[in-house]
Amino acid sequence: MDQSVTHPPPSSEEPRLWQRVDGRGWLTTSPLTHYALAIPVAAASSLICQVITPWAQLADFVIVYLLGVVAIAARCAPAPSLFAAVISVLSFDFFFIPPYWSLSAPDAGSVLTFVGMVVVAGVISGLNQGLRKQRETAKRSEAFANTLYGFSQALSEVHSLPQLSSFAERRLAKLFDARVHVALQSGTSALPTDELGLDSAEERRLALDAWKKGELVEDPAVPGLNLWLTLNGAHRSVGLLGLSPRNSKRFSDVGGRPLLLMCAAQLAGAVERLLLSDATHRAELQAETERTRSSLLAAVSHDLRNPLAAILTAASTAARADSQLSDEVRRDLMRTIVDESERLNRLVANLLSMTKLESGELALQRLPEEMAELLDSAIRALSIPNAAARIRVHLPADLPSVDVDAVLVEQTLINLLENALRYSPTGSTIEVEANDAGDGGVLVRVIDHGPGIRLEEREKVFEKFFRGSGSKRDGGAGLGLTICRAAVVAHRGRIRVQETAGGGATVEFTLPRAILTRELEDD
Amino acid sequence: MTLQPLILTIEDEPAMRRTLCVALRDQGYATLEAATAEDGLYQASLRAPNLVLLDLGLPDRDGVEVTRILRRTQQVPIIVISARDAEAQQVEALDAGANDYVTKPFREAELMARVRAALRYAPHIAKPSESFFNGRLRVDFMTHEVSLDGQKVVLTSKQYKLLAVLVRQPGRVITYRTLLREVWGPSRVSEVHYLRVFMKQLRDKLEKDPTRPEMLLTAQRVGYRFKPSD
Repeated sequence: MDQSVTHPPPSSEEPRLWQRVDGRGWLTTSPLTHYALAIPVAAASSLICQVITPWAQLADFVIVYLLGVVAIAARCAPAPSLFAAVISVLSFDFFFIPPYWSLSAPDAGSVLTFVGMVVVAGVISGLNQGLRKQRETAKRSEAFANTLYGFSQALSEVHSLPQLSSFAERRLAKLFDARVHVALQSGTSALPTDELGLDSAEERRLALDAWKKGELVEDPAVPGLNLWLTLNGAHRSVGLLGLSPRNSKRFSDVGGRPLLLMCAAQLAGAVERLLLSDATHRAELQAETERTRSSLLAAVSHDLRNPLAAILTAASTAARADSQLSDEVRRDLMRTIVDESERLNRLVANLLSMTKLESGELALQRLPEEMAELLDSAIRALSIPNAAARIRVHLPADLPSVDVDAVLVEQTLINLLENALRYSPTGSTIEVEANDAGDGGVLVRVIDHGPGIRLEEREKVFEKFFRGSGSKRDGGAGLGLTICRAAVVAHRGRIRVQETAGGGATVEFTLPRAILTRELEDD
Repeated sequence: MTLQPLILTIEDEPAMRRTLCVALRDQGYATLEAATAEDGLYQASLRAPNLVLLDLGLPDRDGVEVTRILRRTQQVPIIVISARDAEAQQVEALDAGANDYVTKPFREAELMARVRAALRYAPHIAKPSESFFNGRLRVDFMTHEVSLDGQKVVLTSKQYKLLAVLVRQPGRVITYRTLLREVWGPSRVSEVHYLRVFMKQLRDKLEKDPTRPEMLLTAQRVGYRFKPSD
């Protein structure tokens, strides 16, 4: 009915949302049909009264009509209810107040009946309307809260800024049925305003306007992204969000500006969280690499020299012109050269990973990778004979991809597998399994059935140049597990040693799962 | 007497070059040596080798450029040799037309396997055929039908395209970029996760043990290759 009452003008401010939505719900339940309802109800009441006439008195008829009016008032808005009351009173008068079959002048009794019915209709429909309003409001605010909760929940699973902006764009575009553009600050730099990635000069002007003012700016005259708001974190502005709804009615139905503002606040919070953890993370990495670098030099000179010395001695012996060596001895020397070269190669690979880790997270080349592929190439790279046959891989079919630097993770797997193979009895198998950890990570376990690692050494094994009490002489520099930890930490994962059920060591670590920024296309 | 395949080694480091040639001759190949890109290109045009081993770190010219120049005139298979931390260059060389790569340091057996494969599949790559069959896997490039051990395998259109790009060039490493461009088009060349997911699906359908693939092999950080048989 009256749109101007139930629909506030579009310029009205945010808190009116509930009333507006409620008004809409109200409107749809009181069209003309509700007025029309009065007639069959009054007719039915009259019929019932007619039927019960032999046993009833006038007061009973009033009750019957009243019940009809109550039935309508329970479902309809006040106006149709009052209308029903009037129709019922008139019917009552027409059929049952003598003279019958005509409208008589109201006497005191029927005036009282009339007033009573109208009051009852008014009160009941008023009460009912209040209830309905409350229910609608509750439903709306529940949907609103759910949407917000879902959004912030999803944001908390994103671990990098570029992913965050494209993820938020997609999510908001879907939610509001709108074109959305998100530009985020990276690191500590100010927002690169000329790199907003906008083609239209007008859009850029509006965006900059919003950035300067730090609040929501709208200009319906601008084609394209015409609604811009600054993402304000707790301490400073962290980005810009531009939006152009494809359908303004749908936009306001979902929650309109209030929801948008709250989503923006959530997004700003998520950006700040990532910026902050970036900074802390960088500091941690810095400290770690400092420690690494200092002890690296010492290790390198010592550990490169050992295999080199063996190679030099063996090779020079075999190459001596006047040597009387048997073929068998000569082959033995060559074998030494090959083995020691492999050892040197392993060391160099680890050193290379180390330099990579030293240059910090920026040097990580992260791509979505499949654990199956990483494991396959790690196993192929093992220099231990018969390694592949001793390793059992268990991966669930729906294991998510991981977002990692393949070289580092492969090196981590190689180091863990070589350790496991070297310290397990010949012929025993090594188990490798990976599972979705559910918290945005994938949990990988390398399980052996060797002697295990003593409780007090389980932390120390990750320290540089630590050789466990059960270490073998042929091993590496004590760098293997250190690199594993540095690599896992660089991916913001955790690594630890545990006891295998039934004896042995289990190393478990987490890697971030990849978040697909684009839907798969398969037609 | 059958003619020995002639292999040209372009490598500036004398020790490495000499060792490579000794190893190759030991396996029954005839060898040519060049220490510079210029000399290598000259010998390649003069002697038409069956295979080129090309070091990417040459003093006088970029190895990627040498690959491009060779490809302009010859279909000769090229295996590039590069240092461990030069993946970007490797990928460039592969996109420029190299068939395969080995990373220093490598074991002799690894190199020989690549050499054998490159020589064996060179004719397949040079001459497109209508179908592929290796005793187990059959791919009909005309009808797009795929069967494994005589059983028809149902593939989605993207899965088929991906498989076909690899199978058409057996043994050759195809880079992520090339695969994505061929299957999903030029706007998707950085969506490596497509490949991960679709390769997993293909392996699930075609490999005996999808976690230990025997045909659809990963070239870590670079691309994928199809290995027809041993």
